[in-house]
Amino acid sequence: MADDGVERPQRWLVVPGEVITTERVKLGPGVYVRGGKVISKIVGLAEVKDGTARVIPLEGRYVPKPGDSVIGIVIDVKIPGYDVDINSPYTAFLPREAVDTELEYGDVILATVKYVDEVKNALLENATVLRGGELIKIIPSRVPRVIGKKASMITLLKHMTGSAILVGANGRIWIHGGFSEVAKDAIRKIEAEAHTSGLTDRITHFLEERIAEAKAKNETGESEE
Amino acid sequence: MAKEIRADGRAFDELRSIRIEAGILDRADGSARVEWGLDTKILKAPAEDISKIEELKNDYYIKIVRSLPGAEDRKRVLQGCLPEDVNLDLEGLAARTAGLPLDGLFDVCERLREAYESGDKLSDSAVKKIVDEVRKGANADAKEWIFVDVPEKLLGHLQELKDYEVVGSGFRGNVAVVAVYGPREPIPRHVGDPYESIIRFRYTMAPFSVPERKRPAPGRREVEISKVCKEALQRVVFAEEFPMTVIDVFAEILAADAGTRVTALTAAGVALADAGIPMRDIPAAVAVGRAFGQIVADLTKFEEDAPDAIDTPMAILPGTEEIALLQMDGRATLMEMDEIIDLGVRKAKEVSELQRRALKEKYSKVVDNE
Amino acid sequence: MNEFVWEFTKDRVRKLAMKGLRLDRRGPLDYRDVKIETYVYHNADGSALVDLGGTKVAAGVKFELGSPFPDTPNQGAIMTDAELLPIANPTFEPGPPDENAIELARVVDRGIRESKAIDLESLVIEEGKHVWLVFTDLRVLDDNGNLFDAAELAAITALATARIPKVEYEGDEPTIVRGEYQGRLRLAEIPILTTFVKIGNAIFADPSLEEMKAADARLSVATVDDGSITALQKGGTGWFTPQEVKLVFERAIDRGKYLREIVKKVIGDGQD
Repeated sequence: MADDGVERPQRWLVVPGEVITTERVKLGPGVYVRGGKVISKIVGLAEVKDGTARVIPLEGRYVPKPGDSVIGIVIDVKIPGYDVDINSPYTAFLPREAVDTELEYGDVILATVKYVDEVKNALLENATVLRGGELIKIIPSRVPRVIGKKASMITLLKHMTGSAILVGANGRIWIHGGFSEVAKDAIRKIEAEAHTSGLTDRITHFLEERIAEAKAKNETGESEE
Repeated sequence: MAKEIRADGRAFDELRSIRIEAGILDRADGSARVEWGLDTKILKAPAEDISKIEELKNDYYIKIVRSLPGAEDRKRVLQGCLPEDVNLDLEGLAARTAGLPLDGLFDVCERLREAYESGDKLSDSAVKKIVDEVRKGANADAKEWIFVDVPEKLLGHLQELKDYEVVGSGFRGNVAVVAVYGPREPIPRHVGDPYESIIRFRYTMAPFSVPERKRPAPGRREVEISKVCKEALQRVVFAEEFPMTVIDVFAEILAADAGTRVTALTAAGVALADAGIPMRDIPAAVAVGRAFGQIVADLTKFEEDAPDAIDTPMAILPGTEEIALLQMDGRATLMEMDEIIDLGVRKAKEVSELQRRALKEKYSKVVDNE
Repeated sequence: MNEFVWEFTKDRVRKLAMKGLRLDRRGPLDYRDVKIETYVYHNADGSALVDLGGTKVAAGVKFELGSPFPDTPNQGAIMTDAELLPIANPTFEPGPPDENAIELARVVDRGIRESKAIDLESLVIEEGKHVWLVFTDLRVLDDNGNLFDAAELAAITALATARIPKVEYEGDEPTIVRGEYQGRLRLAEIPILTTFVKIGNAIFADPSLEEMKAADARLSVATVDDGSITALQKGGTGWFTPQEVKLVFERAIDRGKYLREIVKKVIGDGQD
């Protein structure tokens, strides 16, 4: 599994405690070193590429990073700003100046992570309110697959369903209009099969079938606004 | 008792069946179920063999699950369910209904009651007729048999049981369901540690998990187990990555048969990994010790009750063999303890293999199979 | 699902309800998939594990010997206890049963007790002195809404497959021989609890977790085979009109029959 010169697949499934390699490599996320061995910390896909060993998580909550675009929910209104839940162990904070309207408890916003402190609290900026539509949650590490290489997957979804779709790095996805039910189901399918090959074709096929069905049933696909 | 096998047919260093499933709950961040015990078969034996089977029970971990009421029992049942003013020879009736199971007795009662209330005189022949009809009825099969629950592994070894028909199967062991929530912000906030996440472990047992109903509230035993399990996990988790949070581990025992804490901890390791919480390794647990003169791995209740029993629950980190949980009761020499520790480390690694397999199985759909 | 998403989802559920639609696209009277396993916990005298649309409840029956209550010397007793384990929902806290757990236990208990499913007089071993105390313990493992119905299904299935322990006598004193049995507990009825929620003007059967949060009120109805009602419990701070209540009664009888068929199939004929 982890020795030099041994054939190994591009990415392989590991669990915490499993040795990934004994080569000298740079350490990416999801690994640690003990006694000259690089070991996985989590359940995920191990990869040794370009001199770096890392494990792509298959589970877990969102850990905020500066620059990430996230979808949050206002959970507390204070004088200087708002406490926002971003599907992370830690609440984020949005100062009043960083949003152009008054927010209320339960409001859904799209915002950018400006800064993350040592105790993983995130400061948000550039927030806009999202009205209507619906929210689903997927495992954050599978977000890249929903977006796809060069946004190919998300474009496919939006184009075929006609829905407005915003994907937060924190695993929250906002869907509005179009064939939103189909969009939701397609996203769940991508989440469930995130690391399999041939996914794009399967999703294209899935969308075609389901939208044809929805049209036949005269579902306008309008999400109820 | 044959020395080559144990009271349940296993070899001395053989673990019971362990089945692990990860991610079984929807709400929890991570979850696992572990069933750890003996697969059994249910045999049908003629009622007259009961004393032979009772003798086997002294040396082997078999149970009689269904046997017939004795004469005294029958008399009381009949007395209880017949109308008070009925004039019947109860002793005679008890004798006549020999071999009927409880349901059959109730049937007889009901029909006698009906007959009595509609004015029939319960003559001797009328009573005989009713009893005969009940015997011939749905429970006719049950009347001559008793049912014995025998660990599968034991079947081949005991000549005495060879000729009995297998009519069903069972499971006698531990069932634990563990849920993990977190890392999450503690309420109240002040219980948080600014340097690392705090693991909280709560071990509970369902009232029906043990032979005598246990009161629902956690007792001293549960509190102690919760503490040692929590301490076993605190450093395995990369707690320093989540300051000011808690990680809650809730373990519920639904069935118990010796080794509940190792079952709970084994499940907890899987549940933590399932929740995506970074860990140095997945802790694996097992109970080893001594029973009936032999050093053994994975004791059953039968063995825990042995007069010379030593019970040593252990949890290790398989990668480094470091011991994170260790308890013991019994009386052992130094040499015996050394042997027990070595056996425990070896067996825990087997448990670890099963934990890893369970986690990988869960994700086999998400990733291409290798 | 994070608790704070609830406000947002509540709105969505209510908007759909105005058109008589549900979030998971079920019909207003549709129950989610029910899976019932029996004989699951070997130390219990009867046991069941129910999965109702993701809501999971384990039930175990234990027979203990006791003295009868002074005013009913010729009756045994049944008792029901429930715990909403912190396993089941991130907001359930460890500790003794709170008002929700107690309400759950008492409603399940009433439906079974009032239906006279168990003949308490048949639980007598010696009148005035020794009777059977039948404990049903409910352990909620996963909350996806409608704990009431899932719990009652688990309880009644565990009771329907429960076996009476063997008793030995030392002189006049009976003692239980653990692990040995002598026949089944007989149930005269199979009561079924069905819960409906009111969201706006819509009434939905078998509420999901989102629907429970969005609901103004809920009504649970226990029914038996002949269509009689054996228990009622209204929950929540909203109101039902008399017409709505009567409508729920009708639906409860119908849904009760549907669920009863499932339970009967699982119980089967009933020998070991």
